Amino acid sequence: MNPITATAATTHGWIFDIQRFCIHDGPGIRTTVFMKGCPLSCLWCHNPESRRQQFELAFYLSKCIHCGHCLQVCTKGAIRGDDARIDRERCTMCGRCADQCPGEALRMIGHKESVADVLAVVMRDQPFYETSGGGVTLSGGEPLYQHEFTHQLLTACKRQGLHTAIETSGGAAWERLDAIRSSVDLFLYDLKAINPEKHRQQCGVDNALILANAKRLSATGAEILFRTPIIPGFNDAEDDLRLLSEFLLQLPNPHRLELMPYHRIGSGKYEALGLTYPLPNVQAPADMDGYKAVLTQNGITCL
Amino acid sequence: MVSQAIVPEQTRPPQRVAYDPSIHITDLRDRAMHRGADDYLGWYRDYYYMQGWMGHGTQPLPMRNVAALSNIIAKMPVRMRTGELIVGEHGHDAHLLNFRAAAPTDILDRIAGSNLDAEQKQQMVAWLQAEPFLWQQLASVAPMPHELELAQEHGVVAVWGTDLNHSIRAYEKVLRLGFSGIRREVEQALTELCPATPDAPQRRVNLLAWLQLCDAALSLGSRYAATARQLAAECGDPAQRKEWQDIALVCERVPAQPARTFREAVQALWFAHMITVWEDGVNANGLGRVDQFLWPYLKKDLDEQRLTWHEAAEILAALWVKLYQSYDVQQMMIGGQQPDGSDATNPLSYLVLDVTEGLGFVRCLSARLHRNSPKSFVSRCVDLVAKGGGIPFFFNDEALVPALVSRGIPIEEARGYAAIGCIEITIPGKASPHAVSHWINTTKCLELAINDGCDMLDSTQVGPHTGTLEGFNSMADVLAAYTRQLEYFAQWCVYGSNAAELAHRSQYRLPYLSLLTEDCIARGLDIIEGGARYNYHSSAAVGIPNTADSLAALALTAYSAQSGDGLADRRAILQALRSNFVGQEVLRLTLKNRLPKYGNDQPLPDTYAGQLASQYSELLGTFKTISGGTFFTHLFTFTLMLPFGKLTAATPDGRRAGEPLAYSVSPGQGRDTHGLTAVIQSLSHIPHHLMAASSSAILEADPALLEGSGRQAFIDLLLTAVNMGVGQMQFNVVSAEQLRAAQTDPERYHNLCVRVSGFSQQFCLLDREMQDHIIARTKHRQA
Repeated sequence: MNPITATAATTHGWIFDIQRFCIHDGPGIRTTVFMKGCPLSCLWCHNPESRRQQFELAFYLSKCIHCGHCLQVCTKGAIRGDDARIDRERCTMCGRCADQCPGEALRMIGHKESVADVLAVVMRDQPFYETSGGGVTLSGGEPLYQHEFTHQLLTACKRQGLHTAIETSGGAAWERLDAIRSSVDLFLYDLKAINPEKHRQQCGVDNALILANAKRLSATGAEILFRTPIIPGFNDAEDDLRLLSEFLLQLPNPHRLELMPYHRIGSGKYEALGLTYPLPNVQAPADMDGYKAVLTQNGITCL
Repeated sequence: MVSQAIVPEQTRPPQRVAYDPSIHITDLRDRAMHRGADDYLGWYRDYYYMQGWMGHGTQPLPMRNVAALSNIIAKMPVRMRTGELIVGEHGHDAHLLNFRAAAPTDILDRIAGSNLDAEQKQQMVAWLQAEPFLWQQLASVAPMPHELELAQEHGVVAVWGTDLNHSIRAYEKVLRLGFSGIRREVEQALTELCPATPDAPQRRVNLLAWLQLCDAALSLGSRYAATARQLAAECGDPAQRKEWQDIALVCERVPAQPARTFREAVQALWFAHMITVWEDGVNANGLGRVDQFLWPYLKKDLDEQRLTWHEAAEILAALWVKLYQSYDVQQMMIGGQQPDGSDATNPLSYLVLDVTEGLGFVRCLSARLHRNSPKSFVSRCVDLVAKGGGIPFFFNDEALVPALVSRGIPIEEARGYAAIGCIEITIPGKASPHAVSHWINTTKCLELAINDGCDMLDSTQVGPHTGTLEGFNSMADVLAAYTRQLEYFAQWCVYGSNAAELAHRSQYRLPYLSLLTEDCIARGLDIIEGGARYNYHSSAAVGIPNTADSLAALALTAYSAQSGDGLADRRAILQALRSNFVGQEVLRLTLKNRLPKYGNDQPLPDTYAGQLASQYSELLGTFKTISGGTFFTHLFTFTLMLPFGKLTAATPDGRRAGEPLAYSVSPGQGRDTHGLTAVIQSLSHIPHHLMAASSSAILEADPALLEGSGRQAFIDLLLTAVNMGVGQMQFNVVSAEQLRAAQTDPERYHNLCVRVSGFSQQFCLLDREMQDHIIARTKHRQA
């Protein structure tokens, strides 16, 4: 076993994916650990499977070979003959059907893993981190939702000498952020909307804590890359960009901002999970240069 | 190299400016890419070869071969175009005859439709009928053994016994000595030949024949010079007249005398390669390490301010256009190590990349990388990869040099390796490689191993009786049966390769290849008689990823702890394989989807893949060739994953009967789902350092990966793979066409991932709308 403390082996966290060879969430070649559970409920969320801290059952109709195994093994009568396949009222997420599905049309999403197990997967690509200056990124969901696990995982990664990044909405008690600070090399900090009313409407929670945390974190001198998803018609008005610029400029330290264009790639996942995609009519922004120009003019270093 | 510390100003690579071909080169390029019927000279080569061969029927074999080749050199039409910097054409096209292979069945129709005149056509037919034509004498030296015939028919092996004109000549020698210098070397060997030497008669006839060939080669430049002089005399335009005069001056010098300038060196190289094509008929001969042997000439020109970088690029581009005229697998190699292990990259290595990029057509180009390759060089290579043409191919010195050393090549010589045609490597100008002499389908060996040596598709007994899966109580039993099959077929492959080499000795000589291969002149022996410094055959293993996945599948089902005594599972699997999973789709998908596969950094299949490759390489290393060499191993399929796949029954990895096997040691198509780092981790389990003939892998990359910040990540990925000892890699930047194919056949393209900032997803899991979007994006990007 790796030199990991006993707690690291026993503390478990809810994970829904570990993606290797990620290159957009921090420097170099990285492994991103996607954690389950999030206090926010953004309308445009591209990882709907990340929100709840529990198992999810996804069904991909295109992969189904209609072998009927799921029908036979389900003891709850939760498998239906229609295209949605799952009666989600009856389903208890026992996972038997997915376990038996040869075509991988039914898939259980989410599993509890120990810090040691996650670290072992992360360490597989160490040679690539060394060449590229990469490392590990914790994403989600909201990694701070499982702050103890996150803290331990980050500490364990640091002990291995890895570069660590965390993608966070900042929606957690300051103590949680403060506790992990020394184990994080880069914060990827989401600012979805500065207007509190808009934030409540679009993300389901107030943003006072998020903004306060951003200020405090900035004051510590932490390396932060702020990120704002551009959702046409929601948070891309002139006023939104002005508020965003003002907020960034009054932080104790200067920070860069990365704009992330809205995309619809997550929409298929909603269908697989039996959910309705909340933004059926929003299109990806045709051009990001206009937004960048406005922000740059406001004095923001924009990626 | 110490001398590299102080580089004169003008010798340094220029600030990176893209190569922009001149109007002359653009015209020549367009003409090469869109040729009309008049642009071919092909049949003249065949005609003059025949004329020379038939006219010397009573002479010893080496002299007869030389007469044929000399006749071509002396008589091939000389054509030049305005704007050319490098002149000469070999006239190879799709119709060129390989006199050493089987005759095409429609030979008479082909002659009738050729560009020869009526008299020549009549003559060709008469020659064909006058005496058994050369290739009709190519009967094997012994009757084809039934065992080998059966093995080939059933797709277990393919024996090519590849002859030697699939090789790399010592072109640097032509540049350095000229054919006059090479002739002096032959003369000296003849003078020193003691008549009492036991094989003196054999040597003497070779040396005498080679003198004649040198004389013919000496005259090639003067034929072109004469034509250029005549064109100059007739030319009214002073600028053009000057160009013809310059050409005449170059051709009066080379290839007869040593080259003095870069232009002379490139012209000498092209003339030397033309003769290769005339002798060969296959045109799958690499040029070798062009950046190494051409650089001294370019450096001197630059030092003495005779040439600018742009002029040098134009000369190189002119050579590229010449090579493109007959597009075949003629590799060239850049980068790599010096004999002492230091980095060999020089400014010409970069210029080769610039010119290739600037001309915008894809041709074979390979780059050697090692731990200390300059990052700027790797970065320039990646620029070209991003263009999507799949070049350059990457070869890893860290793996392949030790591999060559493991088969007895001294390390200084091993560091001189280059690629021949596709990915086969050899030591340029020093070896007789018999590249891809035979192929062994390991997946078929496993099929036979678990079915008592009996082909599952037609129940023919093809291999030895080794029992069936039902009777095997452990994985050890399975592996023992597989080993018996492998050994049996490997032995017959060795027989086939040796039979082919024996046949070559009785059928023809390759005097030109011998002249340009060390130590043929010193030994007085043709390369076919074992004159080369290094004599070997290369053997290729096909299907290792499928065989490894199949073994892992058996280990995790029929031989797992949950399976009890496993008999029921073994029966079920064997039955399903024999019936090609008919009515067993659930079992097939379970085997395919629910079990670990090679290419995903999963210990079990990766370990099996490594073991299979080691076992194969060690086994082949125990056999000897008729020339006293051994077998260098390849993990390479060429395109045989398709025909071998057609003849291989369903396999325990969930592959249906007839489906393709994996390309070389790439994961089976659609099976790698954990990203490129995981693929490279799996590849690193393969003992590339034993594959002295090279391994090969094609990796697929999303075009978006090579943009923006991803580009640096890609470079780092490549360098890490080099550090980890992965042998050979090609990158397939996924195209819109592939994405469209993935839409219609998601199972096949299960692994294809697409990326939008910060997010990636398996393509097949996206909805149709999004798939269409990404296809449009990709198409746009590649436009």
